[in-house]
Amino acid sequence: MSAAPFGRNIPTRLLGALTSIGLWIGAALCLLPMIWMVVSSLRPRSVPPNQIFTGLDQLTLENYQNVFDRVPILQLFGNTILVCAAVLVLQIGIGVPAAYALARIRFRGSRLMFWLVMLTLMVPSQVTILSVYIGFANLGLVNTYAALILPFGMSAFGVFLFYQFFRGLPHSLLDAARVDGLSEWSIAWTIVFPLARPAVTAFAIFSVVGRWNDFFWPLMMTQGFGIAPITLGISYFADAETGRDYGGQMALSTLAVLPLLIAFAFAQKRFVEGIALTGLKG
Amino acid sequence: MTTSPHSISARPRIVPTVEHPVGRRRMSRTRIGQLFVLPTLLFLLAFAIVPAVANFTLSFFDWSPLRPAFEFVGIDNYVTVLQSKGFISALGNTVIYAIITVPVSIALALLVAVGIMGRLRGAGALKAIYFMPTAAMLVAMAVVWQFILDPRVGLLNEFLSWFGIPPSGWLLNSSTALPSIIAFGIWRQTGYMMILFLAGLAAIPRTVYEAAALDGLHGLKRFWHITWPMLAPTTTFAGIIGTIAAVELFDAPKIMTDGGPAGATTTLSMMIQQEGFTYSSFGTGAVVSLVLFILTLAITAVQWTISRRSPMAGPQ
Repeated sequence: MSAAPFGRNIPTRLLGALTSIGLWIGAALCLLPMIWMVVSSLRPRSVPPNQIFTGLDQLTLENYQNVFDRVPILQLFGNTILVCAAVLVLQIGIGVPAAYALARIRFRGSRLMFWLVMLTLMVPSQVTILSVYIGFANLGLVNTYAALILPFGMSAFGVFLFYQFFRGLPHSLLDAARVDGLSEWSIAWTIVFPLARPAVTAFAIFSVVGRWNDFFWPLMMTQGFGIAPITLGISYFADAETGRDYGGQMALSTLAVLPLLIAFAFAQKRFVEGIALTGLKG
Repeated sequence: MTTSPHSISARPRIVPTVEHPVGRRRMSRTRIGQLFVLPTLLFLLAFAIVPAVANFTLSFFDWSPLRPAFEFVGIDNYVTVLQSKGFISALGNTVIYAIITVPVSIALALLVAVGIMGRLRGAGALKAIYFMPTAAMLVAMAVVWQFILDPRVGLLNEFLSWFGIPPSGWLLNSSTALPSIIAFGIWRQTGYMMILFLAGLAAIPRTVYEAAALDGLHGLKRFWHITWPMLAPTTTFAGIIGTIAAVELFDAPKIMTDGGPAGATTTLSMMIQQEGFTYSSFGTGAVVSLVLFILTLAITAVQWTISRRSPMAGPQ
């Protein structure tokens, strides 16, 4: 595809132009809700929300001030970041060695283990949440960080991604290391794991996006603002407002959306490359 | 359930040895392999396999956070759930959502990915923009969409009024509430699938296209005979991931409609939450969980059969 830019003759050129128009219309539809969110968050509270072009000359931060006064935003962000980071560290620390072992070390039980991981890929958290809740309740761990972090400590998707990556490493690399007399242990730690960085980067973004967005699990595992993530904060605030304070809701939404969008803006290339590298091509 | 990751240390430490006979070396590889997968195995058992099995057991018991004791009730929970109108409607809503959202977002994503791949200018910007709905926090965007679809002050009704179309309560009417949530789902998921397809397209060797050009294959024909079959693993993967996400649908309807009006947007996931935490009935919730699980497995199995080859080949 990439090898053939449009334009030998009239029909293909027309097709190219139509593709461009279609792509940019689609892009506009993707952006519009977000633009509207930001615009609405910055307009004075007195402007009726559906008057699109009113109040654009008197932008204000009063909605943000109001939200900061009423919602413990920093605490909510702190909770979200803590959970994201802890989950990511666990998932990588646990998943990378496992994937390497499954992909490159033949050992008894590796096939069974592989299929257990694949099976887990198909077990949604909705299926496990009630039992896990009962377990945590028995341990007195409901409404603790442990209840938000541990259930996600192992990502089957991550193991699968890393597995694909390790399968793609050239045989000669590992063979050479083995001929040199390196133990499997040293091969793993000094050669293979450092090489996994692109796959880890790609997965890290998936993982953080997943935890950052999670609403279902914390909604059931936590009570009140204490250890609640920002997603719950948004929901609590929307409920408290019963849909009246649009400016405030848009301000809170903007704040919640911004960190990940900024991170994505910086990491985009790495992210797309990472997926291409991990090769979701079967 | 109670297995703690600390039990890792209970295993004998593997001391890396440099020189040893082949027999011992193989054994040491096995031990290292097993050691490397052990934490994964523990977590997988504690938070996926055991709870999934426990969920099945739970479906024959009564348990409530208010009165945490197990009481065997036989198949009562099944009778209660399967006979309730709420369940039938939740199952229907979930299936309709999945059946529409997944194929539509895959088709759009493929269209966008192919369109972007063929471009030199603006490709980076387009990729970034299409991915933004996925990168933006779902709950926040659901609140934004709820605002846009608001009957009184919503942006959509304002746009439509320019063309003389009367305002509508998109999320408040039972006929438009689910379609609105489907539209939101497509809006959100297309960018994610586009990334998958871009990776899949990039993985198709250029020589394949060169051979196709020699055979006189261009445009749509080339897409149909070369690109589409070669993307099959990606499509299957996107389909499975997308379907599982669709079957789990919770956040958007929870925020935008809370399952209403009159259960028109209640999904299986929402029903699990309602049974378990609103009505404090974990047993009936477990029945709904089980249905959701079977649905996930069935759809995955169907997709694998259709694609004829599993995208996940086991270790050799």
